Amino acid sequence: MAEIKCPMCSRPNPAELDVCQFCEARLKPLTDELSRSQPPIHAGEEPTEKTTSELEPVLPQWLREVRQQARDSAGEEPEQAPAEEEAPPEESADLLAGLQSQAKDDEEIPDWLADLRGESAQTAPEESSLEGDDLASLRNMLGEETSSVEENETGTLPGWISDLGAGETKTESGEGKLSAFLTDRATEEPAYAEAQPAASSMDFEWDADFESDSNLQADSTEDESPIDTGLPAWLQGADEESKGESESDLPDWMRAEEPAQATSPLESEEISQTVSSESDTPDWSALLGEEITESTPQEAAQSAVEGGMPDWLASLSEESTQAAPQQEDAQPAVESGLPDWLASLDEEGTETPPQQEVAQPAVEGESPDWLTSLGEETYQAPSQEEAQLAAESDMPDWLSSKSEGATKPEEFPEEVEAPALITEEAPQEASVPPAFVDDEGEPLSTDDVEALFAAEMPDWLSGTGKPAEGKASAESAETEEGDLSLAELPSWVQAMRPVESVISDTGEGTATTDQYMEETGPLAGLRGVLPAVPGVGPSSIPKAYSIKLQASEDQQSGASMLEQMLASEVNPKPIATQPIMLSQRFLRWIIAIVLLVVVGGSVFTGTQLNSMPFGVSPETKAFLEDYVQGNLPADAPVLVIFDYDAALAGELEAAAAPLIDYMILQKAPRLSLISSTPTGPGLAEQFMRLENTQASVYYQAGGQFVNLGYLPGGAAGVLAFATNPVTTKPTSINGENAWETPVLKGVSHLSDFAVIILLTDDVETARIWIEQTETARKDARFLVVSSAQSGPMILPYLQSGQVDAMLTGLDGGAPIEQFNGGRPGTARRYWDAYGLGLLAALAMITFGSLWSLVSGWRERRREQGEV
Amino acid sequence: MRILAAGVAIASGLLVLLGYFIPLEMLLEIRLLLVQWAIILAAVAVLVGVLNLLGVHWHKIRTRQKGTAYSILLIVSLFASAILGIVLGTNNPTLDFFLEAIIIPTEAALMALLAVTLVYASARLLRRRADLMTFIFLGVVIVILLAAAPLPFGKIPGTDFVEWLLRDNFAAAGSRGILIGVALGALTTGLRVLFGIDRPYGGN
Repeated sequence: MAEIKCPMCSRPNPAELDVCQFCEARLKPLTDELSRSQPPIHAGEEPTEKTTSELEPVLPQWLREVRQQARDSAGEEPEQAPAEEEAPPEESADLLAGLQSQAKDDEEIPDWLADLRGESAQTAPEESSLEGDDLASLRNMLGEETSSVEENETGTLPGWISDLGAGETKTESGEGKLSAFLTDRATEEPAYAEAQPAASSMDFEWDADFESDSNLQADSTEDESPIDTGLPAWLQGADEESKGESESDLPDWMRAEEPAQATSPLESEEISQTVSSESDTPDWSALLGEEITESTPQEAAQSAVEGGMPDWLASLSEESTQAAPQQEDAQPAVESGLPDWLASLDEEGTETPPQQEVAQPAVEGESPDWLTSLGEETYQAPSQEEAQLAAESDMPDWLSSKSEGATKPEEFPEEVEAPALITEEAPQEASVPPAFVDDEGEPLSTDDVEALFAAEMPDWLSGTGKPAEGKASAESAETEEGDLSLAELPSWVQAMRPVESVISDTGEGTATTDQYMEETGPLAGLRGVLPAVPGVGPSSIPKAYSIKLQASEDQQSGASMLEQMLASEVNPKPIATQPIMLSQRFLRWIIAIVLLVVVGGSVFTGTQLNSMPFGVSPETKAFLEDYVQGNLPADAPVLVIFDYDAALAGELEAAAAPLIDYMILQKAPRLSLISSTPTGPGLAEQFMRLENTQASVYYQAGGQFVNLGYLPGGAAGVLAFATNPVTTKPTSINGENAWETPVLKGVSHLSDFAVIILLTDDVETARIWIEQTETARKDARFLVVSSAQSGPMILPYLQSGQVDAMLTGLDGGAPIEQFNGGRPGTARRYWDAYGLGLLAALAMITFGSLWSLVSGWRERRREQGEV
Repeated sequence: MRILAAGVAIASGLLVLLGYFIPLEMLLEIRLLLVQWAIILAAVAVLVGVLNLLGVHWHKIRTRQKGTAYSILLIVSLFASAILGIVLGTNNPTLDFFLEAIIIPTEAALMALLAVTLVYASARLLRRRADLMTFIFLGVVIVILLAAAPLPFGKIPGTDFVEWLLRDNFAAAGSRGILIGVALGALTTGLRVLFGIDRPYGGN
């Protein structure tokens, strides 16, 4: 068998069911049927008007059945259709007047609602199914008028209800309101009214009288159909019949009310007008609130009792004053568009816990006892199965409960339980006449009532609970004391109730007692809710955890320390500003002045305080004495290399001039000048023009010496010159072919030079010339005249024999000059300045070092003392 | 292209090196040719350097940077010397005058400042840091100065020995070590170029 899984409780259900048998949730969406019955709706399409009958496939099964019953009953009473058509215009004060006005514009009004408002007979058959639902609930409410119910199983009301007629009559006790409601019902179900003429003859003739006396029903009380007054057809039909019998069949208590009603036509009119201004306020409920003040409740009840008024009606009289504020409360709800009976349901739901047991006295204010008893009687008759069906068919809880515990019609006076929809006041303790009576006026048996209401009732009509007969009486007694809200509430109203009220009603005979009901949380009161698995959801209030970091003192101190360290890394350290050292500049000036004075004064004054040195180095001595004087041929080619800077020209000139002058004096060699620096040729020229030198006197360019100029390329140039000097340096500084001049006659290789004298102040230059020309110069002597700063670095070459002799600075040239007889005298001139300058520097260094040592020591001690 | 450049460089180096060891006339000629080409390239490099210097100072003048006046003086002097040298010849007395009146005194004066700076630094050395090395340095300086300086009363006895000890031994030893190190470094650099490991001429 095909099964459908419930979307709520996820339990399998038979496919043919529309609602879940466990949680009563819809198994099949409403749109599903619509989509199958109609094409899908596209955007931009205009909605097509539909009639209610076209939507019948969408309706639930129970509703369809009721509608079918209504159609059948409508066919039996076609004459009531015109009356129903005429009714709507004058039903301004009808119970569901507002609904009817809406129904005019909207064809999709539920049938049962339309019937309530007294629509035309055309719509009546279509809405018969809906009316059947309503009737089913009413059956439960009305009790055990089964004899009439049997005849009207399709959904007709018993005769006593139909005798009520137009329900817009107003009485001082408020029965008119109920009549109006019943009148509406009668208009919708004319079959009901017709089928039960006799049942209402005795017991509800008073309603007919009330209706006839009502100004609102002035035009309709006599001839008009129940539609005018808002009663459904079945009630209107009954009303007409009851009218015919009303005069003769009115009980004494109802006759006693007539004068009261007759004496207050104006009041009734006023009230009716007031009610009519409220579109949705039923007449009988509105009038109930207005007129009750004009009659003493006790007097009314007493008179009603004396006159044979049913207890429920008497209770209405008595409690009318009590219901006045409640009625006022109901008015806002009514004004908002809710029917009064629904409004009373709301009040009842909020004020009192709902009582599903029909036996509980639930009549409040507007609910007559007869209706309450009807509910009891009706509920007793149906079996448990029928009660379940009623529950499944969305029957109101209060009606469905009544179906289980309805009392018999014979016991109506004692088993009073007003249905929830019309209960606001405590039910009255009185013997209520049976709701259903047969044609002979005899109350219907329970079975008959059951048969009458065999159709499925909606949930709002079908209540829960199973009041027993004894409970009914007990509850009626309780209601006399003033308890409220013992009626069954619809499930949707129950859902809005507080949790406590829901929990208290769990064991009261609901149709789904076996289902799990949630007791806590937002789903409290709902059945079929998936129970929370232990551990899945929070079973208790979660423990509050502090968001503050839980750190111990040590951890906090460590963190703060780390933070300080990081901050110190980021922050730039302030640079300790040193004090402006004004002494530095002053000291420099002092030193400069001292040196200038000493050196300059010695030079300019020509002092000769210091003696000239006499001793030369062995190497130099050997070169001078052995080679120059001995082996050096006269007019030998000598290469002189000027590779020093202009800054040290004075030192080198002073050191080399005695040597060259000595060689010129001894052997008058042919001098070839060359330089690997750009300023060398110029320095060479200057050297040859030194004062007091032989060269400056006797040597001429091109005749005795030739200046070959600048040799580029550094080491490569030296190598090239050493390999082939002719091709490397073919011309002189004058542009002439130097190798064809008499100076370089017979010289084509480096080895052709007798002596190679290198004048340099740079170790690197000396190294290049020494290393690159070593193989090329072969037997040529190589002398180096260096400055005092590079002497120690070139000494290894001397010590290794790569250099034949070396003169270092002024200290090396002065002996040569002495050896040369003091010629040219340059060394002598610089010797005292040289000596005194050294001594001055020595003194300043010594004194300054000592001063710095002491001052530094004192400053460090001061800094240490400050720390 | 990088491979070609490396090949040319390696071949040239090997030829020059072989010329030292193999006394073949052809190798000597090739070596001389390559060396002369190097001389020419060096001379051109000097000219390029001069032109670059000219361009730098011209840009400096054009962008009005700090020291624009000196740049203008430099450029003027450059062109003046060049024109005079080309026109008058390098052995012209005018150029000799420039050398003797400007170049030599200027460089000599800068060298004289060095003497003052050295004396001042030596005098304040102990103020900055008074450690053993500082004392040793200063001691050696004083001794050398005493030994080298001609004194009116003659040399101080023992200064010759100290001078010999310090200059002819310690200093010479250190100098020899430096020279050997320089030589070895030059040898290694040459070998790296010959092997193509270093390519100072371009490429990786």
